Amino acid sequence: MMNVLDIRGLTKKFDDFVAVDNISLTIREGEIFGFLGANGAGKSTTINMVSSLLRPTSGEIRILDKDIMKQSRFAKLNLGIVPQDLAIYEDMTAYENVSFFAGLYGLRGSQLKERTLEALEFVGLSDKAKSFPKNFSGGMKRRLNIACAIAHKPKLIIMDEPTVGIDPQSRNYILTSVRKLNESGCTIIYTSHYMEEVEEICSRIAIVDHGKIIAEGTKEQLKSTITDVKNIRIELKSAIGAEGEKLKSIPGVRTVHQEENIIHVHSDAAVDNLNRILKQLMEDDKEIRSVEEQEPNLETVFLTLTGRNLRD
Amino acid sequence: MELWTVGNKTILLLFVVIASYFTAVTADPWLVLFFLMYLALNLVLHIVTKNTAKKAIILAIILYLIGCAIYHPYFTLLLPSSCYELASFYTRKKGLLLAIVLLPVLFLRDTMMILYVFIAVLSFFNYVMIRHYMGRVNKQEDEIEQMRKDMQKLAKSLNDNQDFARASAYMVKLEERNRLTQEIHDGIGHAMTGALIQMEAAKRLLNSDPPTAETLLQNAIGISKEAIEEIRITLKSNKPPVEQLGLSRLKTAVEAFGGKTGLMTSVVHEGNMEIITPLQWKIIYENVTEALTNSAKYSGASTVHVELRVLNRLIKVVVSDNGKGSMKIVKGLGLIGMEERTAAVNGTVIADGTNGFSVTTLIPYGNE
Repeated sequence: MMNVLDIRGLTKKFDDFVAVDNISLTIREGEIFGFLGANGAGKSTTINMVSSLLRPTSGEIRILDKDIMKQSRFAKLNLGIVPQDLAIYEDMTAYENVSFFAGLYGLRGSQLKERTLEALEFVGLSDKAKSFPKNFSGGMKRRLNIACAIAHKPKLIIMDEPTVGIDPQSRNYILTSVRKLNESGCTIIYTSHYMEEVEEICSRIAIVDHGKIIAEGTKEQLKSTITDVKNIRIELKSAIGAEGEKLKSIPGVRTVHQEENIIHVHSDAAVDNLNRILKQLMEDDKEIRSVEEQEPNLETVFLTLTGRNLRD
Repeated sequence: MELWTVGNKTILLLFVVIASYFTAVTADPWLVLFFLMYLALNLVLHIVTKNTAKKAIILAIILYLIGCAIYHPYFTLLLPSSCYELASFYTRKKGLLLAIVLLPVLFLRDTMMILYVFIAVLSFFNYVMIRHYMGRVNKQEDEIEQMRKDMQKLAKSLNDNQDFARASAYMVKLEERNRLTQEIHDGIGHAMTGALIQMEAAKRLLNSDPPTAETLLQNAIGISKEAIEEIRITLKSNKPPVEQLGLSRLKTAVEAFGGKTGLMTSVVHEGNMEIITPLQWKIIYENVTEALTNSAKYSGASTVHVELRVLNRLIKVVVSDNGKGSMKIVKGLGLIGMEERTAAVNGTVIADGTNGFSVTTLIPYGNE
């Protein structure tokens, strides 16, 4: 499979301060790659370098196997950027905004018109094409911002915190469109400090802290750097007897611990066995009051690795 | 750089020769001589190697040109390039240089003046540009040299680390062997000697005093049994575990540091320490001591906390203090050293100054 983005030894210094510290990264075609890190971790700086807005102090960036410094036109044509700060003109209509940005990418004539309408349709703003963004809600502005970045059908789309400060409905809409874009063949880089979003949509994730990638992989890989165990807490209506022993034979279960009507099961996080555990209990005619599965999430991973919360 | 200057001079000389040829009514043999002299002097310039000699010759050329200029004004046109050449040894102030080179304008008139200014300025740009590019080339060469040195240094430290891993594995074996020898000597050796003496005595008393002989034999049997038990224990008892060596060394170092600096220290560890290899222990130890030194030097902290945790796929070591921290972290040699060491085992170092100062070392282990 082709590497859509290849970063080697990327460093950016502002005077003595190292904002991005020797990052290497490969993003393959068809991925939704999540960039997770606290504010000031170096996410935006990295993205600004990939989109040629900042010049790296050292290192190499290749988009679709072409060096972005040497073949900047090629890189720019294949790249769509949804910046963190809205980049739309309030005194131009939604249509004009999209058409303006698509025009910058070299689209002309009927193709320009077609793609502009397509992009507006995609973000659900077709009926607002003639309206001015100054009357839009925050979420609508965000969506228009996305439309501006995708009209020229780039291979790689970078979304820098696209859901900051918007209502839940618009957020869901945006997350759905990210998935749709990905299904239509786009590779997506998604930065956020909302852990849930990243966990929900990204196929691979890099955790960035102090300008460095401190962990990288799928959700499962990241979680397994911390632990392989999940805890399941099951509360029953009545105390349990020897039946608890039966649970130990279920695949993945390591230990079973009982205190009166509460059972704690330690199990391999990689094995999906909750259903079987519950089924076993039901077969024994135990009435279940509540079930709680405590699996490490990305927040725990981040906290364990850096000692800090993602949103400090 | 030399080639550029030579080219520049040649073009100017050709221009002056042609110009004087077409303006003169009759051929002037003096003029030809002067041109040839100029050429000769310039050739000498490229023959000598010493800088002082070069400077002297350039100066001679300049003086010669001034002399010739009195005879024929065209010679002034050759002045600027020699002046820049001389200047390249001394000044970096380009504006001043241009002003000096433009001085002869005061003595020239009409077309000569314009021509002179034109050539002086043109050569000036030429000179500035060449110097600029030469500067860049030199800088890049320096950088390449620096990188080569860095690479050598890294290769060396990599080698050192490998040597260390080998040496420490060997050391563990040696210690193990020493301990076994010692235990066999101290315990079993003595016991066997004791048993032997009792059996010899029993043999002598066997006929004369059977009851005593029996007691002695019973003793010998008892001692032998104990000795066998001891052999079993010796063989069974674990070899001195690497993790205990590593951890106790780390703890001792941290405590010693606390005693020396008066800082409160604490060491906490969690997880299976056995998976940490000697090389990783070495890196952990060095990073911790380095971070402790930094805390003592800069933080103004009263306590330092060392945390060592073995996670599922990662070893995490944190040294944190309660000092003033630093909002803007500037990487010093210490931090860079830690990073380089840790990178040798694919690890990362994060320094954070937002809440006190903390240095976290993350080292992956096991197969992905």
